[in-house]
Amino acid sequence: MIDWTPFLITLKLAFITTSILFVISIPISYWLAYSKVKLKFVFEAMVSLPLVLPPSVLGFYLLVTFSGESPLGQFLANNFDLSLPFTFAGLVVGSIIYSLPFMVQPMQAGFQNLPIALKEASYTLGKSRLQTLIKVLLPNIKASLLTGIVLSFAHTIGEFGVVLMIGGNLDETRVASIAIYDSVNKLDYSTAHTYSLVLLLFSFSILAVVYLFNKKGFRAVK
Amino acid sequence: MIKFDIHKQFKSHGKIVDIKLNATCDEGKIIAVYGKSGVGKSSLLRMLSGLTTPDSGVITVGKEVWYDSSKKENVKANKRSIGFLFQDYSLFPNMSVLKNILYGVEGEPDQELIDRIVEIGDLKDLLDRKPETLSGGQQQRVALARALVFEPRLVLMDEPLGALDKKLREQMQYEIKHIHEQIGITVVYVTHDQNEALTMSNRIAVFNDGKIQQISSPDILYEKPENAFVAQFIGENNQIKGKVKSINGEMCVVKTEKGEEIKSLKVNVNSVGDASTVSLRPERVEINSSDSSFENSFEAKVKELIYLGDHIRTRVEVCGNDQFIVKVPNSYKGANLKEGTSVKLSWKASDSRALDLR
Repeated sequence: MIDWTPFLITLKLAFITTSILFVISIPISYWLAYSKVKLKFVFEAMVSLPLVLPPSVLGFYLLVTFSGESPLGQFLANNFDLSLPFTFAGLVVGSIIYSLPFMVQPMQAGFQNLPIALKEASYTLGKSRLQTLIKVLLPNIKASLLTGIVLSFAHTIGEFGVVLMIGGNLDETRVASIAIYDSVNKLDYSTAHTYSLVLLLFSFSILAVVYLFNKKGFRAVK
Repeated sequence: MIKFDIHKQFKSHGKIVDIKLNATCDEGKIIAVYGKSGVGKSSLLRMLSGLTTPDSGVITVGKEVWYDSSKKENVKANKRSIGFLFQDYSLFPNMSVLKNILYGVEGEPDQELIDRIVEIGDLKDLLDRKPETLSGGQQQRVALARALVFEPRLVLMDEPLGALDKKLREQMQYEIKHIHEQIGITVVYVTHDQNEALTMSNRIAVFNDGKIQQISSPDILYEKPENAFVAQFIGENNQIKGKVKSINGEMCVVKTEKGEEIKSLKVNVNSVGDASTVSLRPERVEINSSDSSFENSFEAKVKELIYLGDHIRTRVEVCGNDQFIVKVPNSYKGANLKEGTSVKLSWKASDSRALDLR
């Protein structure tokens, strides 16, 4: 009998991570797209770092940063009674950082590809920056938003290194990718096959749906 | 009354562009700003709209101060009440035509005005459509309606017809004028097309080298250009280069390289020895006149004759200029001209204007 719990944890993690990422990535990508600050490249490099950094490195630093012996870990424990290592909350924090570029970069590209005159037309018609963002910019980068959501969701589902380092292999934190690794370690190839096939089909289906939507009408403004 | 006196320096295509602009514009009128591409016309509109901040200066609209560098006042673009008609229309692709038009309307829309603008712009059947399904001319009309419907203090038009073909452009020029006449909103209309500037307004600011060279009605720009650039703005213009030999009150004498002395109005030269371009309209020159009241009279050689029905466009060589054009009426005298023959050209000193060297 297959234990579906790792899939439920994975989906829950992907859903929460993607939702939080969506909200925080809008201001980040807006700023990166339009700011003229000279040191912007430093922030762009920071956001993109998880793309090139080995996940185990990121996971290790997160583990050290949030451990009970670090100042931040102690601060969180003392003030919020929160301990992140080897908890689901820790997984969420790790996943958000790890998947940040997958949400920010498509959104940033979407903003940058919009004609600047759309934004300016909205300002001259009396609308504030926030009104312009909500009424004009976001509705016209639907394709980029969808791409960001799907990539972040799919990327979170496929995480391994970061979640293993910060979450370990406990009942609460065992996501599907770790369950596969665990099954292989136990030489339970049958379960590993099943988990792998489900992940493969799931990831493929998500991407296929995105490409279908993009083809059907979620076109970016040229 | 809209007044601006602003200064801005910026880099464009690796060059530093320095813009110093000052002008006034009566409310309810169209003022056309003519200038070639890249001289800073769009920057003027961007500064008026608040999308770009000048380095220094003042912009006032009626009693409202929109910008005053000395008092550090700068009203944001979304608080200025501006209708901006962009060259590429910039309609919002996610909204229907109606939503685009109503985008700038705050509170309860003035239904009567909306109906009127929709009717004038012939937009009734387009209201539910998305901008991408409209032709260029239709998009332009929607953008125009959107810029006018919330009754802004000032409408800025940045070469709004540049993307349209010639026929549609001419049609739209009249439509914009027609709508303006009905609604009476103040418009600053920027264009690099001389004919468009002349069609759109009877007050034209000729813009070059980062400043307004002259701001006048078309007839004054034609008859009394204040410098050599403006002299070339409308119609044909003969230019003869030389140096100021003498000055006598409002008049001066310009001596050409070959030694001819042209008596002219002293317009844009200051002292003896200044290099000058003498500007003269082709229709102000007489051929083989027996009238002795002309102060200027020179021998010229006919180089080319082009028959244009009511007149003969005659190219002659005179005072070192072999591209000098004379419009000779198709009368007995004109009909007898022959290429290669010598003729006498005469004109009044008050018709030749001593301008700067260009």
